[in-house]
Amino acid sequence: MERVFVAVRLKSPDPGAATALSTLRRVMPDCAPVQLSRYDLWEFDMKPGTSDTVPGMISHFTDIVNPNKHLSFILTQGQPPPGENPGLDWTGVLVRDHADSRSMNWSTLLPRRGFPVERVRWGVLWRFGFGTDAGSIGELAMRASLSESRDSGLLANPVSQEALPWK
Amino acid sequence: MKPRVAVVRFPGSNCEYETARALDACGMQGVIFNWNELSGAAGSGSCAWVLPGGFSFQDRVRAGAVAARERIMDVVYGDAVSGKPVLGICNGAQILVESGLVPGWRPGAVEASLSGNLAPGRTGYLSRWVFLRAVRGGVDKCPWLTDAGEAPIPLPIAHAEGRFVFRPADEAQALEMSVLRYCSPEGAPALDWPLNPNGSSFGAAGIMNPGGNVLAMMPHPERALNLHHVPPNLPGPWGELRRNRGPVSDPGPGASFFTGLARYLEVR
Repeated sequence: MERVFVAVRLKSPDPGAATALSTLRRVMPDCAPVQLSRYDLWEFDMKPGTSDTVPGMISHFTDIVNPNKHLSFILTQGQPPPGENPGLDWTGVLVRDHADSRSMNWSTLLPRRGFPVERVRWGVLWRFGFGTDAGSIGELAMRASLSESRDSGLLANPVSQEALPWK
Repeated sequence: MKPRVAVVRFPGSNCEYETARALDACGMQGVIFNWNELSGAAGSGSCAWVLPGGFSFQDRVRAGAVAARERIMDVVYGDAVSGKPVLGICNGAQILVESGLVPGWRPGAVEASLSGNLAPGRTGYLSRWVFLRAVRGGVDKCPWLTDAGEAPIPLPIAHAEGRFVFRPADEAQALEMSVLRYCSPEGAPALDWPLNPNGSSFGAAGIMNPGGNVLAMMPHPERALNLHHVPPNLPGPWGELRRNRGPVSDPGPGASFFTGLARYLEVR
């Protein structure tokens, strides 16, 4: 099995990221980053020797990447997406549902269409850009992510979702 | 004087007028407040709150997550903790879950989730009629359910994130809080697709808090206020009544949620 990650973001400014950032600034100002970006992160477990077919495969499905409105990047695990502001310290949190129909259905659909896919998982990758003096940015990002109460955390509901560090 | 019930309109709410009309039709006065009219809402003398359906803040981040952190929810939270009735319908239910008001074992803590629908072979938004039943513990305790009876109630649903999820350690007490459950048209419990339309734990369609004054439900009672809202092809007594051309302005299956509250407020 070979694992390939595809990060997908809007070409235009992402309203979800903008709303999340303004909400964090209001509710948890000590954890709010300077910039916040949002990506759909697709994890494809491919059959051995087929990982290079992923770009061609996803080009068939505008539900995954619509070239009119999306930019996409192939990543290895933990690798940051390109184009982040070099003046900030960046870290990331991957938020995934413990169970979701989107992952289940793409895991069924793609092999049925003849693509060499063993499993698909979908999640949201949040990228936090902190000032260089922010301190322990991984810890800040995780605190901002895990929604323990209405005034603590926002991006992941820990009852049904996992939040994983993504350097 | 009719009891006033506050209906909160967030950016993206789209059922506030139907909800206020349902309250008016059942002997109360539904008053719509914008989410940023804090002083008006807090000083309105409302006896109860309804958070209506819609897509608050465009469901950004997660349905209900951003609205739950708005300051008006401080007011709703305070009233809920003091015992005032609060109903969240669909997106309103998502806001109550994200606010920690339901299940509310530790008020304010997020102890449940309304996650994406989980159904074989389909993803995303689902809009159709379902059947649900009120469970006895809820009928006895929850103001919104005092008129609900035990017969199956047909109501429409329209959501993409309506699956109640609890931590495994909480499931036993969550079952007790699940006072509305999906069922077949005949009333048999529905745990699986398609009668359970979203994969919800225990087939839960609505959850109350331990005090019973807060109810979060995914189906829309305000969209079934009158008999003319009921599709004629619906199985069961309500569909039969509709097919037999009963007076279409008569109360529909959703009216009991509002008449129950009116009776509760009158008694108090």
